[in-house]
Amino acid sequence: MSRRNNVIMLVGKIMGILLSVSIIITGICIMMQCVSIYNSGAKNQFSREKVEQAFSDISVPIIITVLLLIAVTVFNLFVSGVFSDKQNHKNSSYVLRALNLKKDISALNDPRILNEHKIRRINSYILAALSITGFGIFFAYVLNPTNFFDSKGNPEIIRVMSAFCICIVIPFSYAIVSVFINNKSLNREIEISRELVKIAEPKKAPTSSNKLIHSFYFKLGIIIICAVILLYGYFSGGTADVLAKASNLCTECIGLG
Amino acid sequence: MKKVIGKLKALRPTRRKIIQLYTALLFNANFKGFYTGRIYKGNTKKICMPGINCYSCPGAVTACPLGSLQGSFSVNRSTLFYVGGILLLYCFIFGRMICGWFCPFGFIQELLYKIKTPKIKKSPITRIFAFFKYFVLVFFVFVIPIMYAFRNTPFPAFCKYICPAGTLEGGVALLSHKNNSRFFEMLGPLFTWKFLLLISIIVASIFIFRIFCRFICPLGALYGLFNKFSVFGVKVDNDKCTYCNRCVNHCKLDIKHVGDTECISCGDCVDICPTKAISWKGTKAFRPMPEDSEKNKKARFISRAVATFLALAVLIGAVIYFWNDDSNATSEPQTQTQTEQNESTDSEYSVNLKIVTAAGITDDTVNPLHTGKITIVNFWGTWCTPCVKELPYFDQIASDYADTVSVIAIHTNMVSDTAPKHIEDNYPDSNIIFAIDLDKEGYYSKLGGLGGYPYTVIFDENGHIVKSFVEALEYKDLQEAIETELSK
Repeated sequence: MSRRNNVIMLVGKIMGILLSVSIIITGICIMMQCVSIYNSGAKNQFSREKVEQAFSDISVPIIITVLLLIAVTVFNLFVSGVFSDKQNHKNSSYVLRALNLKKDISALNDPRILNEHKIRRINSYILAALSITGFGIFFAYVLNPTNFFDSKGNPEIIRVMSAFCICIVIPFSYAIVSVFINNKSLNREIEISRELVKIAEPKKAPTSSNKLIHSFYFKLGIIIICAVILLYGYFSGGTADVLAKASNLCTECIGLG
Repeated sequence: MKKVIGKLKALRPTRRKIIQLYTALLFNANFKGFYTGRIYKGNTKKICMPGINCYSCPGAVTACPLGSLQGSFSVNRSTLFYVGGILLLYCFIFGRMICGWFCPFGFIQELLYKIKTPKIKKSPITRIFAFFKYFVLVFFVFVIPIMYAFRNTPFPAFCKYICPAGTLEGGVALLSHKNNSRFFEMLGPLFTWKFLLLISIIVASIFIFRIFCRFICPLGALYGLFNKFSVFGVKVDNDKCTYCNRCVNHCKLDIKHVGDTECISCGDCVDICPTKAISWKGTKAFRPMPEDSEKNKKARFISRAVATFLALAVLIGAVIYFWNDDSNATSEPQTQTQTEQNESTDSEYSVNLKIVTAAGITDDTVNPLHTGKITIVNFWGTWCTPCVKELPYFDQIASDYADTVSVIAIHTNMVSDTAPKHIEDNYPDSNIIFAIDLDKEGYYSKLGGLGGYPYTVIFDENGHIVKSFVEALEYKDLQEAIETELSK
């Protein structure tokens, strides 16, 4: 690739990263404005005027995001492949699974591979233990009503969310570390597997396990049964409640309050 | 320039994208709703659509299967059979193909993912997160609503606490209309939580492919369980498959193999399979026609032209039908202010409502303006969670202020048969006067109802409106309003 193309790709990537940061910041700003209106204290905190004011307060990040979005879209018309949608699973277990399917799996019971499995398993156990502890502390915190509600009986969303973030910070940090550990382990396993698969016997392709469930008459029978259930419900007046629920606004159900 | 033209050509929507856009428009064909800010109330809402599309969206012309299912646990057996039958039919006919082809919310997420930013791709960790949607399915769609059903209270836990489609299509779409400004009064902790969740999902959808569908959506989880048995979808010919795994590597979802519970049958893998081992099951319509002869090209052109014409005719017909449908006529926005309501003449609010008892609708009538007391008129429905929850407070008020206050609870007239049972089970000796408005919500609209339930209006002794609430009330709210009125 020429130097010019490299520069163009670099510009594209920087623009994409800037757009990402801008989107995240805008999202956080919108959420913060919503929370600040909620925390304003009055009984009917929300109003059209307050919401319009809140959006005008964060107009700068919104405008920057929209401009960046337009710029990135136009840029991508000229330069392709800056951020590809193609998946890359060289380092994932999907490749391993494919190798296992293709060849006799017993050849992969090598002590070196089992050792890698052990590393990843221990890693998972540590992550699970940290997660359970974190969530346990959080639930213990939430189950105490004095921590969850203020003196007026309203849920303290910010306090609860902060507690949640504090409780998951250790498991979340370890989750990021464990991704690197797992990827290293998988890489080593793939290398060993490739060597072993080369010498392993080809595996016979699996055949369809159950012909009955794939048969035309089975599917037809099931559909007829479902249709009978549906028609029974229809003719015994089951549509009235569906219509009532769907054609009236249950404000609580859509999150309005 | 050639490069740009080539790039623009490559941006042409795929067949799947066109169908996704088409279904999104068809299921939201009530464009008048976006203009008036009111939801559609016609008979097509008896039908549950296959994907997630909130029925409180002003444009929605069908019901949401998840909302209907959660509501059906607490009503009667026939509703459960009806909704369950529809859902099972969808499961066995389409499986999770619905997510890939017909779901409007999935379409929105795919469009967001098109924004060119660095992406977080699938990994063994995202595969673990994918199990979370089964937890949501079991607890929020089945366990919690069924638990509340034993208390005769409808409780759509998923819709209430999680569904971002409801917040976006129902909540935000309604709030953004100027006629619904009063809905801002009821916003509080629940809306704050759901709005934060919605923004999180929208932002995350830009970086993670279909984050809601993969990790949260209970409807996708349910459909996925039937992928193996469904009539339509994708299948793999094991004799042709070489296990190269190109399909799994190409797929953006957390599939282990094509057609498993995570597969949305989008068909992207069909074209990339080197041995053509992946194909569509159940239909020949998706198979590409051979392009070797002029005859085939002509046949393909004609079939596409006919299909496009029919599809457009159906869509335009639906839009025209829903725009002119009488069911929208009762949904005209109420623009009267509180002062204007007060200045209205008594006769405008004077109406004789049929009284409902445990035995059913009676011939006796009640007029809210002729009770000679302070009158509280509450509009409620057995399908409405906050309505059912607040009704005991009205019962308490009717007992505590029996000499000075009259409480009339008007049930939405569409499911009148469930009201007597609810009254018999919960309020056999109540002081509340249960009534029904047979004028298709005419009285509700006249009193300034915006379509939202519960809605409460308080009249003074002279029949003037003194206060109205578009929210669920508690005892202290009612007591405060009554004491204020009594002190005058």
